[in-house]
Amino acid sequence: MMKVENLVGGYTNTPIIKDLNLEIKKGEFFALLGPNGSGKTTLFKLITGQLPIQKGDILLSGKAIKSLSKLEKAKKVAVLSQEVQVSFDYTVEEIISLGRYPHQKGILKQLSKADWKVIEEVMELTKISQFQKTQFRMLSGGEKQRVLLAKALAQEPEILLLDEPTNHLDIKHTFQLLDVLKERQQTMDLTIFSILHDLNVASLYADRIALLHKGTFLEVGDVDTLRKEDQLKKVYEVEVKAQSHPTVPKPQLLMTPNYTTSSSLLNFSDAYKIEQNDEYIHVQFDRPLRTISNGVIGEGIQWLKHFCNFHVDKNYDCSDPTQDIKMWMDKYHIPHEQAVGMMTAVKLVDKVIVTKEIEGINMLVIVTAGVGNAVDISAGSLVGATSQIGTINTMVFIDTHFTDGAIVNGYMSATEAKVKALQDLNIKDPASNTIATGTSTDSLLLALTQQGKKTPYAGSGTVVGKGIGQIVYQATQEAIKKYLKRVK
Amino acid sequence: MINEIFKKWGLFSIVLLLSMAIIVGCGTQDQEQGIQDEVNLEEEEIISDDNVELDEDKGEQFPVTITDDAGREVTIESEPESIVSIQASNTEIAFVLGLGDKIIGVSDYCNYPAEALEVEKVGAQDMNAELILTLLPDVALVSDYHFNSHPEILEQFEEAGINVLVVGSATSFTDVYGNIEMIAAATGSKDKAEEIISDMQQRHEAIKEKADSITDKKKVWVEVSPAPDIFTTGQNTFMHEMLESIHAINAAEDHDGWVKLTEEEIVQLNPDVIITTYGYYVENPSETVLTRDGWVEVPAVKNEQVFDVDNDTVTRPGPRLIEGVETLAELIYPEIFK
Amino acid sequence: MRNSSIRKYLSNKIVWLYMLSGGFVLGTTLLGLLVSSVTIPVPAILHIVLENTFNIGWLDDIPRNEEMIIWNIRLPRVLLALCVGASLALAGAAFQGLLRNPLADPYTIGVSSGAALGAVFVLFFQVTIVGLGSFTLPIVAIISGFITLLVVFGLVRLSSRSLAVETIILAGIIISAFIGAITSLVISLGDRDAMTQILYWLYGSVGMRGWSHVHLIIPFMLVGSFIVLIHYRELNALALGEDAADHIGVDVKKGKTYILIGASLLTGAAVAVSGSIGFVGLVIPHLVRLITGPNHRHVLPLSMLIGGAFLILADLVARTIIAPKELPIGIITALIGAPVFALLLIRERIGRGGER
Repeated sequence: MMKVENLVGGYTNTPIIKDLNLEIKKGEFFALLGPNGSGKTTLFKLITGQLPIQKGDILLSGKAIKSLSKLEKAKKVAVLSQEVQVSFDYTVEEIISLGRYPHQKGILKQLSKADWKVIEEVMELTKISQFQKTQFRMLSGGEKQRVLLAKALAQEPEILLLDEPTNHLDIKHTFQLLDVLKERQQTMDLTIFSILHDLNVASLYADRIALLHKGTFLEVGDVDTLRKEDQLKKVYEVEVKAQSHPTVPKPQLLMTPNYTTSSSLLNFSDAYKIEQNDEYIHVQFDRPLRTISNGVIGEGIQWLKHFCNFHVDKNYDCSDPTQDIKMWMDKYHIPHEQAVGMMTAVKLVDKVIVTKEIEGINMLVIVTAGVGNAVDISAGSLVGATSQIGTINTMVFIDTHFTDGAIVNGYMSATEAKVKALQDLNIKDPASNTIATGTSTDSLLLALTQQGKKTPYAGSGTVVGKGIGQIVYQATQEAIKKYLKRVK
Repeated sequence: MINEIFKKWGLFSIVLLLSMAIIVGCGTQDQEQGIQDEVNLEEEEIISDDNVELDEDKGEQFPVTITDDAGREVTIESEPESIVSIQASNTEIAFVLGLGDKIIGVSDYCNYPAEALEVEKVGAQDMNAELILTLLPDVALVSDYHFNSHPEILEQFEEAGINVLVVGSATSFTDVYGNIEMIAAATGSKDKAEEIISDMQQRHEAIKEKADSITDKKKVWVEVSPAPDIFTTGQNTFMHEMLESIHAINAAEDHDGWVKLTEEEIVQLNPDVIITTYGYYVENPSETVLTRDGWVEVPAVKNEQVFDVDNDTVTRPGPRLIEGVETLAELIYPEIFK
Repeated sequence: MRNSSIRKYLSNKIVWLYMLSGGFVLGTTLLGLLVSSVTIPVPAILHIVLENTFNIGWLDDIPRNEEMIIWNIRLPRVLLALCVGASLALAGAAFQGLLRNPLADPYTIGVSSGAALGAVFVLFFQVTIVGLGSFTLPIVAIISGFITLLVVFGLVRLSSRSLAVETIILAGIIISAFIGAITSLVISLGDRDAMTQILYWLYGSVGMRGWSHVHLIIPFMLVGSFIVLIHYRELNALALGEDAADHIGVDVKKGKTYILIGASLLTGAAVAVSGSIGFVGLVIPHLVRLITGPNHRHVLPLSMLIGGAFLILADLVARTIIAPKELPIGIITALIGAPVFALLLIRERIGRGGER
């Protein structure tokens, strides 16, 4: 579709674009990334002809762009830039009809029926039909940008150049606008070449990206190229962390600011308070902890401050536990978006709290246990849920700094310790009559203060892993014993 | 843009001020001489030729061909029944020639004689062409300003059968006599014209004769506009000619035409007499001159020799100029001329 | 369906606007012919006009002088007012669109000052170019207007490659200030007679010009209007800014150059035949825009019609209000134009406040 060959150009003597090569395929959404001053807009101006090409060529469907007249070019290339100032009170319809300029024929150059059809179609597409007769300057920023997009689309271009089209827009309007573009790309095979500032938006919408740095491409490729944190750091000079979008298989980038929070070191034993009654146990920390859990709410790896375990009746109707936990938390003024929530039918007075210092690392474990539903995970048959009291809920808090990998390690260590406790107490899966490895609904959370030296491992081969194992083993055993005593 | 608008309005106000000055000074046309004089001289010859013919024809004055001050030959077939005059001096001349009842249109500035005020006004620099065409006079007396600015309109007049006579601006008595003769020739009143001219000449001669006895010439300072912009009359003005003829010294004789002098320069000139001509729009002009700061030592002020004369009699090139001379003579040399 | 019916309504409204404006022009023209300090019976006026144009008269005995008044004085005067008003209003609309500045008017970029200076020189030196006669003044005025345009262009080009709007306005202001100073210098050097003439000319007037001036302005008006009118789409496109106009395929530099030349032709010719008549070029396009919206397709032709009619009316007022004396027409246009403009501004502001 568009091919850039050995392109050199820019303002006067010093070229800003230096020997650039690029090919954009028909129907793709190509995002041009790079910091301010890297030459993005200059490249666009070289394409639109506002700046002279010093060397090399830009080919449009195989034709040199220099050889095209302005009108011919406008039929192939449309541009949507950042918000423009419109003088006088033009209506939306009049602005859009300007997009038909390169297509108008005849001496009078009036708008034909075909022109009007296109105009109406693009207004429909960009959802601005209701503004047709409204004055442009009465519109909001997002609406304005949609009008200008409609104007660009009215040109019926083969390729659409977007120069930071969402610069002034809020998230809603940004996504609305890009969704329209994406739809047009998919249905009409429109080629889109866009300068984007937001790397995450680019990742979500673009098919391919190019990273421009000082007039040359550092990277060209699909959006997963954005996972190259080093390259991004080199270009943007910001600490960047690539993550995956939780629901879309695209990278998302997280930037770490350069300033440091000068908060004093947390004294672990003073940093939390535990509130407990018959209905819930609530552990509250002053600062958010790096937490991994499989709680009813607050699952996954997050930063959280509140950790709760709610008591439910053994005949609890578990059709919507998430909603119930949120409701209860609201009732007790616990912010549920900052909390892990677990459930158990075990009497909360039977909980076991163990604190310990192992190799200078403070740890706190709270366990409630019931083994009515004890299960051997390796045994063959799956028995339907029984209405027995039987859940082991474990909360582990450690005053140390784990990497994400160490957190998973620690989670494994805690699980292994629980299994060992069950084994040593000879708890059996009633169905298979073999030693149980857990219950059918166990919950576990591991929370780290993330202060002190960073630890990359927390498995059984490490001191901290062993520490986790010991303290969890001890607490679990005590809790099961309390349970067994009560059910007797 | 805003500057532009301001500029335009600024210009507008300047224009307004200047046009006031023009209205004030109206009636005194141009001080240019040279070419104009030559034209007048030539034309006098033609007229005197006419006079010769006239004597032979015994009262049969028409048709007559006149070369007017624009150098155009104008042939008037028969004695005009109606006249429009768009110049105050020409109106005065026409009235003194006894053509008063024939005048059906005068300029906005025609104020003498009193009858002229009753006649319909047809504009000034910008004539009301429609009105003149409606009045359809036999003769239209226009100035050279009209000829230069609106030649097309004058053509329209002629096409409609109006005889257009361009009467040039006069800067000397001779010019005025020429103008009187030309208007007379066009209107068939040559006898009256001769009478008037010889009367003017005789009176002028009489004054000159008396003036010959003056040995101690007085220096006269003329003001045609009041402070702060004091304009005076230099060479080539009626005032200068008049002062010369009564043997007074024009204090501004080193200058030409109407010029502006600063107060310092004027005081330096030390005039014996001061003549003002703006009494018709400034109250008590002599008083204001006498009370000027720093003028106390000027002889004219010290001796209270400050007088105002009727502007029209000293600047308007009409028959009343002779009255102007007589007035000046009496004011400047009362001991001789009274 | 809904849209097309709306459009039909709109085009109907536009048709009505054109008809009304045409009627306005015709009405004021007739009024200009009928009303004056000299009363001539209406049938006689109609007879004279029809006799001279279509050779169909029905009255005998029309006095020659009445015919002259109507055909040679009043009609050219009315037509000249029409041409000058139309030219100035169109040039004003074009300059406002081109410079994207609602305060721009035909005098913004200095062409008129140049034309005025040329005229002032002619009046000052009393020169007559052989073969041109009384045409000397307007011809010299147009030529000097054009030289001024070239100087402005040169200045703009030297200081900005892309003919930036701000540079054009600045260059225009610089040049007109300079030329204005020279004009004032000439005025202050001139003798009283020349000064009177110059000032009368600078006042602006369409009176006492005759057919020759009408014949003089018409070709310039036709060429200038043609150039400006066929560029209405470019003027619309420029409303988005020059870059955006470039993106939809407008050759911005070429378009701007043509529009400048066209509008300058109109301005130069109007100033040359009538002096500097203000406010028409500023107010009329605004008025039209308020009625039709900013689309230049309608703003340009309607400005011509309304501008022409407006100047006929202004001239009518100027010559009748203190008849038989006349007021300078510039005073009338400013006296009517300024309050109207102020009203429009206030109304627009209130209107916008209501919608917000």
